[in-house]
Amino acid sequence: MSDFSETWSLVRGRLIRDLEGLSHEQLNWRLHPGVLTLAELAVHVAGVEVSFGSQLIGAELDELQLRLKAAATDGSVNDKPFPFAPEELTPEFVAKAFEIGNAMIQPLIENPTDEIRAKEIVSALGPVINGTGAFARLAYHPGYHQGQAYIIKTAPGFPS
Amino acid sequence: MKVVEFLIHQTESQIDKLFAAARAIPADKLDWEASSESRSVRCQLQEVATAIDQFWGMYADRKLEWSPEKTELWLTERKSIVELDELEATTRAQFARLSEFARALSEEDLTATIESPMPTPWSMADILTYPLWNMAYHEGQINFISALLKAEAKNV
Repeated sequence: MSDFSETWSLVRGRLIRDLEGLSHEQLNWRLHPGVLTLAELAVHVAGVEVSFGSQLIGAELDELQLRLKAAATDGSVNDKPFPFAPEELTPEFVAKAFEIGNAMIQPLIENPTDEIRAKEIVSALGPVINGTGAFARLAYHPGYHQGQAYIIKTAPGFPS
Repeated sequence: MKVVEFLIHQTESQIDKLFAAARAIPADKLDWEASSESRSVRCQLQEVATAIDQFWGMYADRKLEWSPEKTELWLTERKSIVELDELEATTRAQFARLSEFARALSEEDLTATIESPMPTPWSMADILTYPLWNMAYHEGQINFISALLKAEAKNV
């Protein structure tokens, strides 16, 4: 047991399974103004992966990856609008966002070098953290939002 | 830092965040439920505070024992812990017990399989991460409840 890859995979898988098979309407149903929809929280989770991963390896991002990176903070930890409109947040797009996040993080978290573990990046909430701290946060972040997904899916009015 | 020490550090930080989130909820809303199928902040904390002792056999005996009767008793008994300070103290005490246990484990112990009725095999390392995952899950729910309560207050 040398890193958080197994936990990340397990916890992330639970969130993805909870969202699988949901319709566009269900993914974009908002329980209350001011809280994220299921699609937004999923894309936010993928966005944090893109943000952390790109900072850890110094990757240049394409337009879509940049918008995903913005979803790490915009509309969730600050007052800016969420960078994707509900019309864009289809089941297929949510799955694609998770694939992009996975492609960014999986190679790093499964085989982290000492250099990556020590690399300093800015976390979604603002503090500077190192690579090990980033992996620890990534491993539990989907679980944080899985708890919220449960509340949304069991709320009165959630589309059937 | 060894991995067990890092996990303990992370979980202790998670306890801080969990109770900070709970204390941001107005005292008269600690029993508020978003729906009939979801749970109040206090109910969630009662679970978190007592889960380690409830499933101690998983750690000490490497065996998960589960029955409806045992669960029913747990659901009843944990309701006796009501106040946030008491819930936090219980959470910290139970995690301190687990930390002491974890520090004494060898690398071989960490990979030992836990006997359980669950379909996926668990190792000792897997179940040592469970309190951290569970507290992150409930911190997410509590912060979501906080956002819902603020949104409701604006609409009143």
